[in-house]
Amino acid sequence: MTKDDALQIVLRALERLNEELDEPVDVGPRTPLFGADAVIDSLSLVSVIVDVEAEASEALGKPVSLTDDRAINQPTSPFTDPETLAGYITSLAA
Amino acid sequence: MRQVADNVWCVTAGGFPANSYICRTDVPGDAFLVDVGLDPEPIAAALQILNCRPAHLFCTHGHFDHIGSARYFQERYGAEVHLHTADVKIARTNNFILMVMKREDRISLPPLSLVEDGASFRFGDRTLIYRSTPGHTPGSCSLVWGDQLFTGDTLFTQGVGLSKLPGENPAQLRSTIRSLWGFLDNVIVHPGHGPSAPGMIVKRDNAALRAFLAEDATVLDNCDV
Repeated sequence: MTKDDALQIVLRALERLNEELDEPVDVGPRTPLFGADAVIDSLSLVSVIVDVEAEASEALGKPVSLTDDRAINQPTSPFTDPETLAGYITSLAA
Repeated sequence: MRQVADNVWCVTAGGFPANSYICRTDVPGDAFLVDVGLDPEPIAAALQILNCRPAHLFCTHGHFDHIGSARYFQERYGAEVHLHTADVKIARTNNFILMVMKREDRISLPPLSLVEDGASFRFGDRTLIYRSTPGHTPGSCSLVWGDQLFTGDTLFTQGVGLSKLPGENPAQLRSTIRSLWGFLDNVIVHPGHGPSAPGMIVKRDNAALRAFLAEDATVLDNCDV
């Protein structure tokens, strides 16, 4: 899986989230997902990450965990934006 | 600590408060726990007052406010920690949930003894039975202890246990509550949050629960409410 493949998975999950939001957010590789500038609330972030986890696992044909202690203990949070999340997914796939 | 039934005490504590229950068995000094949240100290203090040691901790489900300090009780008392198989993944995502909720707390899961629907544990003349009640989470269970029913977040005496967290399935929760409906007439309900109450009072007075069930007319009809 390339980083762009992973990025597309994340962006698709955000587009699906947008369908449920009263006020859709701008979706792009640098959309802030976590932290002070986050454009989505915490429950939405959880929903997106779980969605991404499922699709990435299916694409790779093996379980991918984005919500375990390894993920949250990364020096740079994988949840900062779609691009950093895609990078983390790619590292798990390697 | 407050006594909620014969030989059953409730401790509600922590920055994210949930109910923990201490159940004293027929064996002197012996007890078991139902759910432990993020803060173990008030529960340990209550155990000291009651002069009993828990040999088992039964978790109704895997959310951090119900299993958060399980390791503490395993290490201090040797308590065996039980959780339904279907909630192991939920339990492993707790620190992620705590992080996105911007909480400083982090938990460390102890080795778990996994249970399935119908698992039973004998304490003297009485038996505790795990009853699978999915919906709030895939592995949510209610624990039957004679006429005491520990429901976790499956059934509240006031309101409904919906959190929008991963794994929640409102339709399944409705179906689960339907399966419990007749049983409620004969038990005291001890929920994961909020006060205990007789099941028949919950059926009559929990307006939010009735409204939730009414969202699916089929369930409402079958519940005879």
